Amino acid sequence: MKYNTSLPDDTVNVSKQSPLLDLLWMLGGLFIGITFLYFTFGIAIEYGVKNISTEREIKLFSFLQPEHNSTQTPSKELLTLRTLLDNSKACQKSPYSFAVNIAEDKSVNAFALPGGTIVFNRGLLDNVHSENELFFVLAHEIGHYKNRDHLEGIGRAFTAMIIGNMLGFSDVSDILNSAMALSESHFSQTQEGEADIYAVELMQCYYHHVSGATKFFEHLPKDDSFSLYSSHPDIEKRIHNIEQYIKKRGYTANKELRSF
Amino acid sequence: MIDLIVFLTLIALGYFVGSYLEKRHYQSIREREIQYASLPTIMLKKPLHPENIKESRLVNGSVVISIDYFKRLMATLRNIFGGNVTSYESLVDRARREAILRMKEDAKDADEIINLRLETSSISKNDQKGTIGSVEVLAYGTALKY
Repeated sequence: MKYNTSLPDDTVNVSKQSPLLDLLWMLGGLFIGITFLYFTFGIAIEYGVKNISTEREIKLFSFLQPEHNSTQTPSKELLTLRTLLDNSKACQKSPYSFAVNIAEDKSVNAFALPGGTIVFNRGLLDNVHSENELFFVLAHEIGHYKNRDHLEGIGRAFTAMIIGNMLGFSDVSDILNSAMALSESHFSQTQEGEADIYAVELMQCYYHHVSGATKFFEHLPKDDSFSLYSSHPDIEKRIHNIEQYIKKRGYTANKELRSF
Repeated sequence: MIDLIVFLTLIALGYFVGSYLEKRHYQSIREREIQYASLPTIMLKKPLHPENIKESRLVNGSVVISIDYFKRLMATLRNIFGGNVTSYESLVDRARREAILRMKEDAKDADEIINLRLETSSISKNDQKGTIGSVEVLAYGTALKY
Protein backbone atom coordinates (compact mmCIF):
# COMPACT_ATOMS: atom_id res chain seq x y z
CA MET A 1 0.00 0.00 0.00
CA LYS A 2 1.35 3.37 -0.99
CA TYR A 3 0.86 6.44 1.19
CA ASN A 4 0.02 9.53 -0.83
CA THR A 5 0.92 12.83 0.72
CA SER A 6 -1.88 15.26 0.13
CA LEU A 7 -3.01 18.58 1.54
CA PRO A 8 -6.53 19.14 2.86
CA ASP A 9 -8.98 20.64 0.41
CA ASP A 10 -9.95 24.07 1.74
CA THR A 11 -13.24 24.16 -0.11
CA VAL A 12 -14.84 21.00 1.27
CA ASN A 13 -15.56 21.72 4.91
CA VAL A 14 -15.96 25.47 4.89
CA SER A 15 -18.73 27.13 2.90
CA LYS A 16 -17.57 29.92 0.69
CA GLN A 17 -20.75 31.91 1.25
CA SER A 18 -20.27 35.57 2.16
CA PRO A 19 -21.13 35.99 5.84
CA LEU A 20 -22.36 39.55 5.37
CA LEU A 21 -24.79 38.50 2.67
CA ASP A 22 -25.95 35.66 4.89
CA LEU A 23 -26.47 38.11 7.75
CA LEU A 24 -28.45 40.43 5.51
CA TRP A 25 -30.73 37.61 4.41
CA MET A 26 -31.36 36.46 7.95
CA LEU A 27 -31.97 39.97 9.30
CA GLY A 28 -34.37 40.60 6.44
CA GLY A 29 -36.21 37.37 7.21
CA LEU A 30 -36.33 38.23 10.88
CA PHE A 31 -37.73 41.66 10.13
CA ILE A 32 -40.44 40.26 7.90
CA GLY A 33 -41.27 37.57 10.48
CA ILE A 34 -41.54 40.04 13.33
CA THR A 35 -43.65 42.44 11.30
CA PHE A 36 -45.97 39.60 10.40
CA LEU A 37 -46.23 38.45 14.03
CA TYR A 38 -46.76 42.00 15.25
CA PHE A 39 -49.72 42.60 13.00
CA THR A 40 -51.41 39.19 13.03
CA PHE A 41 -51.07 38.58 16.77
CA GLY A 42 -51.58 42.22 17.59
CA ILE A 43 -54.82 42.49 15.70
CA ALA A 44 -56.06 39.12 16.94
CA ILE A 45 -55.40 40.03 20.59
CA GLU A 46 -56.93 43.43 20.07
CA TYR A 47 -60.09 41.95 18.65
CA GLY A 48 -60.42 39.73 21.69
CA VAL A 49 -59.56 42.41 24.21
CA LYS A 50 -61.87 45.06 22.78
CA ASN A 51 -64.83 42.78 23.37
CA ILE A 52 -64.17 41.83 26.99
CA SER A 53 -66.15 43.29 29.86
CA THR A 54 -64.74 46.03 32.07
CA GLU A 55 -64.57 43.71 35.09
CA ARG A 56 -62.54 41.19 33.17
CA GLU A 57 -60.31 43.91 31.82
CA ILE A 58 -59.59 45.21 35.33
CA LYS A 59 -58.77 41.72 36.53
CA LEU A 60 -56.62 40.91 33.49
CA PHE A 61 -54.52 44.06 33.69
CA SER A 62 -54.26 44.29 37.46
CA PHE A 63 -50.47 43.93 37.11
CA LEU A 64 -50.36 47.42 35.62
CA GLN A 65 -51.74 48.97 38.79
CA PRO A 66 -49.17 51.12 40.58
CA GLU A 67 -47.75 49.51 43.70
CA HIS A 68 -48.57 51.38 46.84
CA ASN A 69 -45.35 52.07 48.61
CA SER A 70 -46.31 52.85 52.19
CA THR A 71 -42.83 53.83 53.31
CA GLN A 72 -42.48 56.53 50.69
CA THR A 73 -44.63 59.62 51.03
CA PRO A 74 -46.37 60.38 47.75
CA SER A 75 -45.40 63.59 46.02
CA LYS A 76 -47.55 66.72 46.16
CA GLU A 77 -48.65 66.26 42.55
CA LEU A 78 -49.65 62.65 43.12
CA LEU A 79 -51.73 63.64 46.15
CA THR A 80 -53.47 66.38 44.15
CA LEU A 81 -54.25 63.92 41.38
CA ARG A 82 -55.62 61.36 43.84
CA THR A 83 -57.79 63.97 45.51
CA LEU A 84 -59.13 65.13 42.16
CA LEU A 85 -59.96 61.56 41.22
CA ASP A 86 -61.68 60.81 44.53
CA ASN A 87 -63.69 64.02 44.61
CA SER A 88 -64.94 63.68 41.07
CA LYS A 89 -66.03 60.08 41.52
CA ALA A 90 -69.72 60.94 41.52
CA CYS A 91 -69.31 62.80 38.23
CA GLN A 92 -67.26 60.09 36.49
CA LYS A 93 -70.04 57.47 36.36
CA SER A 94 -67.41 54.93 35.38
CA PRO A 95 -67.11 51.24 36.27
CA TYR A 96 -63.36 51.70 36.72
CA SER A 97 -61.77 52.63 40.00
CA PHE A 98 -58.99 54.78 38.64
CA ALA A 99 -55.46 54.98 39.94
CA VAL A 100 -52.82 57.54 39.03
CA ASN A 101 -49.11 57.22 38.64
CA ILE A 102 -46.33 59.62 37.71
CA ALA A 103 -43.63 58.58 35.27
CA GLU A 104 -40.30 60.39 35.41
CA ASP A 105 -40.34 61.23 31.73
CA LYS A 106 -39.65 64.63 30.26
CA SER A 107 -42.13 64.38 27.39
CA VAL A 108 -45.48 66.13 27.75
CA ASN A 109 -47.82 63.18 27.80
CA ALA A 110 -50.33 61.15 29.76
CA PHE A 111 -51.56 57.63 29.06
CA ALA A 112 -54.63 55.61 29.85
CA LEU A 113 -53.39 52.10 30.65
CA PRO A 114 -55.80 49.17 30.52
CA GLY A 115 -57.38 48.39 33.87
CA GLY A 116 -57.79 52.02 34.95
CA THR A 117 -54.28 53.31 35.63
CA ILE A 118 -53.64 56.79 34.33
CA VAL A 119 -49.98 57.67 33.95
CA PHE A 120 -48.84 61.29 33.95
CA ASN A 121 -45.39 62.15 32.70
CA ARG A 122 -43.35 64.59 34.75
CA GLY A 123 -43.02 66.75 31.63
CA LEU A 124 -46.77 67.23 31.52
CA LEU A 125 -47.03 68.18 35.18
CA ASP A 126 -44.30 70.78 34.68
CA ASN A 127 -46.36 72.40 31.95
CA VAL A 128 -49.59 72.64 33.92
CA HIS A 129 -50.24 75.94 35.70
CA SER A 130 -53.58 75.41 37.40
CA GLU A 131 -55.64 72.66 38.97
CA ASN A 132 -58.34 73.17 36.35
CA GLU A 133 -55.93 72.44 33.52
CA LEU A 134 -54.72 69.32 35.26
CA PHE A 135 -58.29 68.22 35.78
CA PHE A 136 -58.98 68.70 32.09
CA VAL A 137 -56.13 66.34 31.18
CA LEU A 138 -57.28 63.83 33.80
CA ALA A 139 -60.84 64.06 32.54
CA HIS A 140 -59.63 63.69 28.96
CA GLU A 141 -57.93 60.41 29.86
CA ILE A 142 -61.06 59.24 31.70
CA GLY A 143 -62.93 60.07 28.51
CA HIS A 144 -60.73 57.59 26.66
CA TYR A 145 -61.88 54.90 29.11
CA LYS A 146 -65.47 55.93 28.56
CA ASN A 147 -65.09 55.26 24.85
CA ARG A 148 -62.72 52.32 25.47
CA ASP A 149 -60.09 53.97 23.28
CA HIS A 150 -57.39 52.85 25.68
CA LEU A 151 -57.67 49.30 24.38
CA GLU A 152 -56.80 50.52 20.90
CA GLY A 153 -53.39 49.24 19.94
CA ILE A 154 -53.02 47.28 23.17
CA GLY A 155 -52.65 44.02 21.25
CA ARG A 156 -49.83 45.44 19.19
CA ALA A 157 -48.25 46.97 22.28
CA PHE A 158 -48.29 43.61 24.01
CA THR A 159 -46.94 41.77 21.00
CA ALA A 160 -44.14 44.33 20.81
CA MET A 161 -43.47 43.70 24.48
CA ILE A 162 -43.37 39.93 24.01
CA ILE A 163 -41.15 40.12 20.93
CA GLY A 164 -38.88 42.57 22.71
CA ASN A 165 -38.62 40.18 25.61
CA MET A 166 -37.86 37.27 23.30
CA LEU A 167 -35.06 39.20 21.63
CA GLY A 168 -33.50 39.85 25.01
CA PHE A 169 -34.54 43.37 25.90
CA SER A 170 -35.22 42.75 29.54
CA ASP A 171 -36.73 46.04 30.65
CA VAL A 172 -40.35 45.11 30.09
CA SER A 173 -41.90 48.19 31.65
CA ASP A 174 -39.81 50.43 29.42
CA ILE A 175 -40.95 48.64 26.29
CA LEU A 176 -44.53 48.65 27.45
CA ASN A 177 -44.37 52.36 28.12
CA SER A 178 -43.00 53.19 24.71
CA ALA A 179 -45.39 50.77 23.06
CA MET A 180 -48.28 52.39 24.89
CA ALA A 181 -47.06 55.81 23.85
CA LEU A 182 -47.02 54.56 20.29
CA SER A 183 -50.55 53.25 20.46
CA GLU A 184 -51.68 56.44 22.15
CA SER A 185 -50.43 58.51 19.25
CA HIS A 186 -52.68 56.53 16.95
CA PHE A 187 -55.86 57.86 18.47
CA SER A 188 -57.92 59.38 15.74
CA GLN A 189 -59.17 62.93 15.68
CA THR A 190 -62.67 61.70 16.44
CA GLN A 191 -61.48 59.77 19.47
CA GLU A 192 -59.57 62.77 20.79
CA GLY A 193 -62.53 65.04 20.12
CA GLU A 194 -64.92 62.76 21.99
CA ALA A 195 -62.56 62.54 24.93
CA ASP A 196 -62.29 66.35 24.94
CA ILE A 197 -66.05 66.70 25.03
CA TYR A 198 -66.31 64.19 27.85
CA ALA A 199 -63.64 66.17 29.70
CA VAL A 200 -65.64 69.40 29.31
CA GLU A 201 -68.74 67.70 30.70
CA LEU A 202 -66.80 66.30 33.63
CA MET A 203 -65.35 69.72 34.37
CA GLN A 204 -68.79 71.27 34.34
CA CYS A 205 -70.05 68.59 36.73
CA TYR A 206 -67.08 68.96 39.07
CA TYR A 207 -66.41 72.71 39.10
CA HIS A 208 -69.79 73.91 37.78
CA HIS A 209 -67.86 75.93 35.23
CA VAL A 210 -65.36 75.02 32.49
CA SER A 211 -62.73 77.73 32.87
CA GLY A 212 -59.26 76.62 31.87
CA ALA A 213 -60.43 73.82 29.59
CA THR A 214 -58.28 74.98 26.70
CA LYS A 215 -55.58 76.63 28.83
CA PHE A 216 -53.45 73.48 28.87
CA PHE A 217 -52.94 73.56 25.11
CA GLU A 218 -51.76 77.17 25.30
CA HIS A 219 -48.96 76.39 27.73
CA LEU A 220 -47.43 73.65 25.62
CA PRO A 221 -43.81 74.13 24.65
CA LYS A 222 -43.81 74.84 20.93
CA ASP A 223 -40.46 73.20 20.19
CA ASP A 224 -41.01 69.89 21.94
CA SER A 225 -41.18 67.49 19.06
CA PHE A 226 -41.58 64.47 21.36
CA SER A 227 -44.75 65.77 22.87
CA LEU A 228 -47.79 64.16 21.38
CA TYR A 229 -50.09 66.98 22.33
CA SER A 230 -48.08 69.83 20.88
CA SER A 231 -46.95 67.99 17.78
CA HIS A 232 -50.54 67.37 16.88
CA PRO A 233 -51.14 69.32 13.69
CA ASP A 234 -54.80 69.83 14.47
CA ILE A 235 -54.29 71.31 17.91
CA GLU A 236 -55.92 74.60 16.85
CA LYS A 237 -58.87 72.66 15.57
CA ARG A 238 -59.22 70.84 18.87
CA ILE A 239 -59.26 74.11 20.81
CA HIS A 240 -61.79 75.49 18.36
CA ASN A 241 -64.05 72.45 18.74
CA ILE A 242 -63.90 72.63 22.53
CA GLU A 243 -64.77 76.34 22.50
CA GLN A 244 -67.61 75.72 20.07
CA TYR A 245 -68.99 72.99 22.31
CA ILE A 246 -68.77 75.18 25.44
CA LYS A 247 -70.62 77.95 23.60
CA LYS A 248 -73.31 75.58 22.42
CA ARG A 249 -73.94 74.22 25.90
CA GLY A 250 -73.78 77.71 27.43
CA TYR A 251 -71.20 76.84 30.10
CA THR A 252 -69.34 79.61 31.90
CA ALA A 253 -65.65 79.76 31.15
CA ASN A 254 -64.42 82.94 32.82
CA LYS A 255 -64.16 81.96 36.47
CA GLU A 256 -60.91 82.14 38.39
CA LEU A 257 -58.67 79.08 38.17
CA ARG A 258 -57.49 77.15 41.21
CA SER A 259 -53.79 77.16 41.78
CA PHE A 260 -51.72 74.00 41.47
CA MET B 1 -29.27 53.93 22.50
CA ILE B 2 -25.87 53.41 24.15
CA ASP B 3 -26.62 49.69 24.30
CA LEU B 4 -27.18 49.68 20.56
CA ILE B 5 -23.92 51.52 19.87
CA VAL B 6 -22.00 49.06 22.05
CA PHE B 7 -23.72 46.16 20.31
CA LEU B 8 -22.92 47.45 16.82
CA THR B 9 -19.34 48.21 17.80
CA LEU B 10 -18.89 44.67 19.09
CA ILE B 11 -20.40 43.26 15.91
CA ALA B 12 -18.09 45.36 13.71
CA LEU B 13 -15.10 44.52 15.91
CA GLY B 14 -16.02 40.84 15.79
CA TYR B 15 -16.35 40.91 12.04
CA PHE B 16 -13.23 42.86 11.09
CA VAL B 17 -10.83 41.63 13.75
CA GLY B 18 -12.29 38.12 13.64
CA SER B 19 -11.95 37.73 9.88
CA TYR B 20 -8.45 39.25 9.91
CA LEU B 21 -7.29 36.79 12.56
CA GLU B 22 -8.96 33.92 10.76
CA LYS B 23 -7.25 34.82 7.50
CA ARG B 24 -3.87 34.95 9.23
CA HIS B 25 -4.50 31.65 10.98
CA TYR B 26 -5.43 29.92 7.72
CA GLN B 27 -2.28 31.26 6.11
CA SER B 28 -0.18 29.80 8.91
CA ILE B 29 -2.09 26.50 8.76
CA ARG B 30 -1.49 26.13 5.01
CA GLU B 31 2.20 26.88 5.32
CA ARG B 32 2.71 24.33 8.09
CA GLU B 33 0.60 21.72 6.31
CA ILE B 34 3.02 21.86 3.40
CA GLN B 35 5.92 21.67 5.84
CA TYR B 36 4.55 18.54 7.57
CA ALA B 37 3.06 16.86 4.50
CA SER B 38 5.92 14.37 4.38
CA LEU B 39 4.97 12.82 7.73
CA PRO B 40 2.41 10.08 6.97
CA THR B 41 -0.55 10.18 9.31
CA ILE B 42 -3.11 7.41 9.16
CA MET B 43 -5.97 6.07 11.23
CA LEU B 44 -5.09 2.39 11.12
CA LYS B 45 -5.07 0.81 14.56
CA LYS B 46 -2.20 -1.55 13.90
CA PRO B 47 1.14 -0.81 12.24
CA LEU B 48 1.66 -2.34 8.81
CA HIS B 49 5.20 -3.50 9.60
CA PRO B 50 5.35 -4.14 13.35
CA GLU B 51 8.63 -6.00 13.03
CA ASN B 52 10.54 -2.86 11.95
CA ILE B 53 9.46 -0.54 14.77
CA LYS B 54 12.30 0.79 16.86
CA GLU B 55 10.40 3.29 18.95
CA SER B 56 6.81 4.25 19.58
CA ARG B 57 5.14 6.90 21.73
CA LEU B 58 1.93 8.80 22.24
CA VAL B 59 1.77 12.21 20.59
CA ASN B 60 -0.97 14.77 20.94
CA GLY B 61 -1.92 18.27 19.98
CA SER B 62 -4.81 20.31 21.20
CA VAL B 63 -6.18 23.76 20.50
CA VAL B 64 -8.99 25.94 21.84
CA ILE B 65 -10.54 28.47 19.49
CA SER B 66 -13.13 31.01 20.54
CA ILE B 67 -16.00 32.40 18.54
CA ASP B 68 -16.27 36.12 18.06
CA TYR B 69 -19.30 38.35 18.53
CA PHE B 70 -20.15 38.35 14.85
CA LYS B 71 -20.05 34.56 14.56
CA ARG B 72 -22.25 34.29 17.62
CA LEU B 73 -24.82 36.65 16.16
CA MET B 74 -24.87 34.62 12.96
CA ALA B 75 -25.33 31.40 14.91
CA THR B 76 -28.11 32.96 17.03
CA LEU B 77 -29.93 33.99 13.88
CA ARG B 78 -29.39 30.50 12.45
CA ASN B 79 -31.03 29.12 15.60
CA ILE B 80 -34.20 30.86 14.50
CA PHE B 81 -34.18 29.88 10.84
CA GLY B 82 -32.36 26.56 10.85
CA GLY B 83 -29.84 25.48 8.22
CA ASN B 84 -26.07 25.23 8.14
CA VAL B 85 -24.28 27.26 10.77
CA THR B 86 -21.72 28.39 8.24
CA SER B 87 -20.13 30.85 10.63
CA TYR B 88 -18.97 27.99 12.84
CA GLU B 89 -17.66 25.86 9.97
CA SER B 90 -14.39 27.74 9.62
CA LEU B 91 -14.03 27.69 13.40
CA VAL B 92 -14.07 23.89 13.74
CA ASP B 93 -12.11 23.46 10.52
CA ARG B 94 -9.31 25.63 11.87
CA ALA B 95 -9.38 23.87 15.22
CA ARG B 96 -9.20 20.42 13.63
CA ARG B 97 -6.33 21.25 11.30
CA GLU B 98 -4.42 23.18 13.94
CA ALA B 99 -4.74 20.28 16.41
CA ILE B 100 -3.38 17.78 13.86
CA LEU B 101 -0.52 20.14 13.04
CA ARG B 102 0.38 20.50 16.70
CA MET B 103 0.31 16.73 17.07
CA LYS B 104 2.67 16.39 14.10
CA GLU B 105 4.90 19.00 15.66
CA ASP B 106 4.96 16.88 18.80
CA ALA B 107 6.06 13.91 16.68
CA LYS B 108 8.83 15.78 14.86
CA ASP B 109 11.35 12.99 14.46
CA ALA B 110 8.83 10.19 13.86
CA ASP B 111 8.50 8.35 10.54
CA GLU B 112 4.78 7.71 10.79
CA ILE B 113 1.78 8.42 12.99
CA ILE B 114 -0.85 5.70 13.25
CA ASN B 115 -4.17 5.44 15.03
CA LEU B 116 -4.97 9.14 14.70
CA ARG B 117 -7.99 10.11 16.80
CA LEU B 118 -9.82 13.39 17.12
CA GLU B 119 -11.79 14.47 20.17
CA THR B 120 -13.79 17.61 20.52
CA SER B 121 -15.49 19.43 23.34
CA SER B 122 -17.03 22.83 23.81
CA ILE B 123 -15.84 25.11 26.53
CA SER B 124 -18.28 27.65 27.95
CA LYS B 125 -19.73 28.70 31.25
CA ASN B 126 -22.65 26.25 31.42
CA ASP B 127 -25.39 27.19 29.02
CA GLN B 128 -25.63 30.63 30.47
CA LYS B 129 -26.98 33.23 28.12
CA GLY B 130 -24.47 35.64 26.73
CA THR B 131 -21.34 33.61 27.38
CA ILE B 132 -18.77 33.18 24.66
CA GLY B 133 -18.32 29.57 23.65
CA SER B 134 -15.07 28.01 22.54
CA VAL B 135 -14.31 24.78 20.80
CA GLU B 136 -11.50 22.48 21.83
CA VAL B 137 -10.09 19.88 19.46
CA LEU B 138 -7.64 17.27 20.67
CA ALA B 139 -5.74 15.13 18.17
CA TYR B 140 -3.72 12.17 19.37
CA GLY B 141 -2.04 9.17 17.86
CA THR B 142 0.91 6.80 18.08
CA ALA B 143 4.16 8.04 16.59
CA LEU B 144 6.38 5.31 15.19
CA LYS B 145 10.06 5.31 14.37
CA TYR B 146 11.47 2.66 12.09
